[in-house]
Amino acid sequence: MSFFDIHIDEKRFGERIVLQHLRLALAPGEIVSLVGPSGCGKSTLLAIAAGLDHGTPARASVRLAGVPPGRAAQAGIAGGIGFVFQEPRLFPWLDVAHNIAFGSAAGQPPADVLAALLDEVGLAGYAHHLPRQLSGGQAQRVAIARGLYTRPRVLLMDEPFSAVDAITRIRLQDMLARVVRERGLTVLLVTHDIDEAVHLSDRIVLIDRRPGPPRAQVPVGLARPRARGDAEAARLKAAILAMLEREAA
Amino acid sequence: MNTRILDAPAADTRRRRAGLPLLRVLPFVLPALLLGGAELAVRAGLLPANLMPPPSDVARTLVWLAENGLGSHLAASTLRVFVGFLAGAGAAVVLGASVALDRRAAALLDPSLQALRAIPSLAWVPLLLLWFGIDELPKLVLIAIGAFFPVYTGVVSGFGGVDRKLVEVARLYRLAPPVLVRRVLLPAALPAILTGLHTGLSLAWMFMVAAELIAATRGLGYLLSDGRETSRTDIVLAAIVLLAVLGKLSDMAMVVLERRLLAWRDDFAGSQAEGLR
Repeated sequence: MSFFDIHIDEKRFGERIVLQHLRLALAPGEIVSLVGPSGCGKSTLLAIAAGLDHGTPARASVRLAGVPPGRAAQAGIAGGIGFVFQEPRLFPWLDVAHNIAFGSAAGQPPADVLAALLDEVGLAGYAHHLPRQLSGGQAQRVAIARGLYTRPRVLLMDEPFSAVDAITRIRLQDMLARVVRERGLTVLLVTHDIDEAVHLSDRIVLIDRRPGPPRAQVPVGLARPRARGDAEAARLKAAILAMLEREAA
Repeated sequence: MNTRILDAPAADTRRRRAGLPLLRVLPFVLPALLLGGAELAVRAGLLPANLMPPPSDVARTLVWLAENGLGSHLAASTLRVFVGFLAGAGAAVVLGASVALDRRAAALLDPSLQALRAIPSLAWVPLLLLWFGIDELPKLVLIAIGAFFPVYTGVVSGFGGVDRKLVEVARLYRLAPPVLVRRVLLPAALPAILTGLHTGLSLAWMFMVAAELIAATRGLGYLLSDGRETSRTDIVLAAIVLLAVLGKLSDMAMVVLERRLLAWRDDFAGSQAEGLR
């Protein structure tokens, strides 16, 4: 049974068709990575899924448990969609606590909720820090906490770890894997890091620069928690790279 | 590139602490030398005393003025600046925000306001005198015009320069337009708005002097023109000193306001303020 459905009939920027006849269905609790060359429209797809479509409106439909995400609350589905951008995009004048609670009407998070969330993303004690006092990795942890604050059912992430160093990236991936497992989140992750896709996902969707249905969908059957440097993971990675290279050629 | 920004923060702080006493003294060195030099030069007969009264005479004139109605001059000038600035800056914030946030308001207002901005503000003086006589109103209007344009420009560029990526975060949470303005656009535009207010306030002082030089019976500008007409160089200098003090005080008030409202900013001025605190 699918829980989160994205069906894009067509998305244009001016005359150029970016996405066409593309359908993605995520099962509840499924983690799907979207991999493809730059310019293939994967970030555009994610923006449409989040209701951040811009330019000529897409001909598309997005359904969360069968209803448009904006109406999920009325339909009795609590949470909705959380989004994490490529950059932290924190508000420099708000401290960590207020950045996290930005999406709520009050803007002021209850102390116990905040403490639990900070603990969850590994930032205990940072509630009153300003963004400029944080490292890149810490800022991205705040961004993830902001994405989680509304208790979403679906988390959309647009290359969230591409701007941090390798060690930080591994730590953030491990943190994300734990949080997603504990919360049972459904995740759509855009990435160009094949290692990341293999390490985190249940399924990897490859899309081409030529608009159309996905080029391939690769299930990742590795047991969790996953060890890095696993031989099976390496084979999978090689196979995906080969597919991507075939397209590039 | 400014190498001080590139220094390691720890080393920078240490050096700043070590250099503090010297840094506190340095700003007073030039004024002390100038005042002392002028005093000596006049006493030695190197400068004509009627054109350049010694600083001690100017100080005595200040005391004499203080005992003879200086308060009302100061109050008149300060009140004019205050009212004129509030009117000009207030109008600028309202019009600037409309132009920045509404494309129709921009199309309607901005071209005309840009055309008015091209007129040197003092060119309004004769017209204001013809229209409003030599009473309070033309002075206040002139000061308001002087304060208006820097604030207007600051507001428009502040709202116009808000990071599109932050606005997108607000879109994600479907903030209503007034909430978007209050929680994202206004704080993001605040640095530019405050810079505009800062410049507007200094121009308000400038236009106050211009207005009072032309026609006034009270105020520091009146002291200036009165001193010139009666060849009292000491009064002219005393008024200049007072203008410097008032200008500096209002400037400091703006700096304090900026530091408070913009403490979140990650720039050199901010980290310097932290180091000195």
